[in-house]
Amino acid sequence: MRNQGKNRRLLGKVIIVLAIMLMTSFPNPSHATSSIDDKPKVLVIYTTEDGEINENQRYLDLLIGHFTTDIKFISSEQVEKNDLISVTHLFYYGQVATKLPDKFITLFDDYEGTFVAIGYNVEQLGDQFEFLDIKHEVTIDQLDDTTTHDSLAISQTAIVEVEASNKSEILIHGQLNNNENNHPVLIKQGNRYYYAFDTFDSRQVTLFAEALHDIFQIDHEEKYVGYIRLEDVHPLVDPEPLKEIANLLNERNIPFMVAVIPIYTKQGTGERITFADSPKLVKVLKHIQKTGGSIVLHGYTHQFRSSETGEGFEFWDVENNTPIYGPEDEPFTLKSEHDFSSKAEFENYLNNLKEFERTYTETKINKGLDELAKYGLYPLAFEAPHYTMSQHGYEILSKYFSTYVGQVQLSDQNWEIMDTAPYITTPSFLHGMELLPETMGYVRPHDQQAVKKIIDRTERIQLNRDGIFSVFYHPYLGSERFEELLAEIEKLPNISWIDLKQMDVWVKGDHIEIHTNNGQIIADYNHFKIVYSSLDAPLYYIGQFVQYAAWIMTYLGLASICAFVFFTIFLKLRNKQVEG
Amino acid sequence: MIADLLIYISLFCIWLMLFYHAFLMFGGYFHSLKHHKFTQKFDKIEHYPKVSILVPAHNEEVVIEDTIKAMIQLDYPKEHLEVIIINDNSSDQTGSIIEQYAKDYSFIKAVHTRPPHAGKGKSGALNQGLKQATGEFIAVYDADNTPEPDAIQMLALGLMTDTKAGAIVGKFRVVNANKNLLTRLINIETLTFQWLAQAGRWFWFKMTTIPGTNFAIRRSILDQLGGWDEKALTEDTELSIRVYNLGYYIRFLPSAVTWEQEPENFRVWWRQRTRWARGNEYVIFKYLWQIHKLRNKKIVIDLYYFFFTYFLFFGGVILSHFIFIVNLIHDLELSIGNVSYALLITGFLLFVTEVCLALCIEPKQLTMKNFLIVIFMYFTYSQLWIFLVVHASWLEVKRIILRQEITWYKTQRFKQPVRRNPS
Repeated sequence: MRNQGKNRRLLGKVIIVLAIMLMTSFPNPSHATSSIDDKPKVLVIYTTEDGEINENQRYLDLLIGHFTTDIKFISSEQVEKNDLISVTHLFYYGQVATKLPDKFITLFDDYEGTFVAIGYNVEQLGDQFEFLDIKHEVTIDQLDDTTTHDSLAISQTAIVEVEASNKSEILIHGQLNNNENNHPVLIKQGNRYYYAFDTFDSRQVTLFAEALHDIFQIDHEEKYVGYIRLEDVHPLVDPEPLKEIANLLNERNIPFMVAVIPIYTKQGTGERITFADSPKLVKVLKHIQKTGGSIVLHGYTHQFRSSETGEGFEFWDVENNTPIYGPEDEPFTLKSEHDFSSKAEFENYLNNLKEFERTYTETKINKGLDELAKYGLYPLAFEAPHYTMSQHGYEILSKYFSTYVGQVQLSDQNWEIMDTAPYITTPSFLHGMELLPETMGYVRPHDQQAVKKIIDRTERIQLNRDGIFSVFYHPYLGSERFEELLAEIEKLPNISWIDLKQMDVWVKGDHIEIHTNNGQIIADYNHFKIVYSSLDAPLYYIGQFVQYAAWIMTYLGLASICAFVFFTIFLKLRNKQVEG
Repeated sequence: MIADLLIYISLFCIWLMLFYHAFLMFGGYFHSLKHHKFTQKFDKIEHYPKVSILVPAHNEEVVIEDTIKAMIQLDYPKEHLEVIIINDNSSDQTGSIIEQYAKDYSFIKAVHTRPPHAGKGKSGALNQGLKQATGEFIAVYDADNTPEPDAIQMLALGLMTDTKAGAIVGKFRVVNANKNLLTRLINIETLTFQWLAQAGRWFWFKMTTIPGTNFAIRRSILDQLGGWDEKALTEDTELSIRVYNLGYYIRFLPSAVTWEQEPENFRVWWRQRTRWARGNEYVIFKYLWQIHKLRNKKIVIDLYYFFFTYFLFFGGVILSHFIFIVNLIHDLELSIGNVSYALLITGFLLFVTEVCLALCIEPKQLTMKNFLIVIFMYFTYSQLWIFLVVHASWLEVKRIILRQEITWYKTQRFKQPVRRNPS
């Protein structure tokens, strides 16, 4: 009897365990799309000249990244029906007009989610966009949002000319020379959207960027964010204006960032100057880090080859306009596929180059992190010098940083193709890094109109409900010009200033891990490997100790002097009494 | 960067010494307030011990007579006293002067050394004198000394009262202090040395060094040690260390006063001081390598003190002077900053106030004139020591390398006008 009872209880347990296993291994499909994390799953099918992603797709990536991190890009040549499984938001981006593969006729038959078509070839997407009548091209220079009545002047741009059915809704239309002829730019019918541009850049994308909130049905709070970044702070920077500027910001309770370059390399001599050579600057930076500021790693030396720190590029070979594929001291020419007898050999060659870039980038990042940590400075984000970095570079970087600050280079062919995003975003090409885009530029040293130009750029930013107002300033220009800039910035609509310390950020170097917790920076690092890796930091700390000790010695000495003077007077008086 | 590091090191060497000196000065001051308590105990003593005074004299005709007269004036029962004057191979009238007095006074004994036991320096002469001595306590005076009448009484009764003291050291004053600027400087230096180094160390560590004159030591100790080390240039420092090694201490008793002559010209001063510096360096090298053998670890403090003074302190001063000069010619981008000026000024003031306090302990020494000399001293006399130590170190290095024999430079004496004791 007792045994039977035992067996029955055991059986019961087994059944329960099996039931739990079944429930967890076969999730209910109805839950899969909506309640797991409610995050849109985006697929972008693109058609480009060469079947590769270029800066335009990456820009679209920047926009979509504001709403989700689950973004996949597949070319129209390679897309399969399976790729659409569980996709909630589908984008088709035809950058070039071409004949799409036949599979497109039925590809979307079972798809019922939101579908956004951009540019060309929309008539070949099955019957999805039958409400559109595609014509030719039309030039516009102004965009108007039909619901908010916001309007945006743009440079003359050709867009696809379409006519929409009566049932559809025009969300944005465009005009040329202020005439009454309205051309549809963003058209909506049900959950089908069409956007008539075939290229993307930050100057014309604002209204579309705002409309994406409706497309994704994500109603972000209407709250502007922003940041002020003090740029190019390296060991030779005068600490005084930096301190004054930091005080101005702290007085106003405006959190800010400081982009720090740990090593200054002199042009020609190649002499390296570290923070050990500028204890005053370290003191100011540490105070900044303790109060309203956060440190951003701005490269290791901010130079490559023989260029001067602050001038040179560090993660881009600007002479060859390629990623950094070879040592500084050797000339480099990128070979093309024709130089190789087989594709395999060429690919092997490219892999070797990428391997070089990886080692180079990782070394620079680790050295940069270590060098700052030596002096108790803990960067919370990264900003590439001159914003230049290859796509592979971003991928490498994403293993080290959770947060990227600045603009992004969108092409591996040309560093000059870079742009900003209208809001904070996590595009797929940053591999999980959150981008805090810089949108307003900086005070150019010799431009008297600089501040005005910066403020002019904010008009566009205000058209996005959660647009980002971000500006940077070189402290060597002095605190007066900064005050001028600050006065104008304070006139802007209410901006919530980004404090990296209050965000959930992390940094993971080979020898150091940094993260934030309730506004505190928590740094965990290998003291031995970091502080004692060279003589600089130990000497610096000895120097600091000596300074401290020297003052203590001075005070002790002065105290002794006072005592001796007192004793002397006492003895003198006593002797007088004895004599008297 | 290297310059920075060197500056830091020299700074710490210098300031370690400055603070040690300040610390000692506090001790010296406190001792000056309470040292009379010890002599008050002498009233209870009922019998006088036998004391032998050794006075080594090598060509001392200029001063020996005054010294002998002072011995005669000593306020001590003569039946318990013997004064042994060792005429160490003199070529002048020293011998006959001594003989004259030995004839007239039964407690004065003349010892004449002859080769091969002659001219071996002060230690050798003392050892010769010791052979003749019968006293329970042995006191030593240099041939240029005129002790105050109660000096021997103080030293002898001190040894009677304090059984743990192996030796008792009195205070010496400069008889020719007002002769010229050099003797004024030496006067200030000796007063500071005694109140800062001797009294200070006694107060904090129960430790003093035998200065070579005006001290009394137990005969038993000398017997145990086999007399004086004839190789040592500064036999006193050497002897002090050995006394401590036996487990005794050496007491500083400022009430026992002697007056002695100091060099009146720079050449004599230089020779005498070079001998001292070399002697101390000899001691450092002799004992620094065998610190573990020293039974009384207190000595280590003194050895380190010497080591720090002669090598680290002067090394630090020389190094920082050198860096300062190089920095004038070529900017070394030193990161030390303003605090170095603060330290420079504090160091100077510390020197002035310390010396003034030491002068003030002696009646009528802290005058306006002396105060100004103290300030002058910082920039001249004190800096001379740097060159002196370099010179002495060079001679010592040369001696060790070339295995030279040690030669004893006898300090030249000067005839003094008759002085009346300020009693």
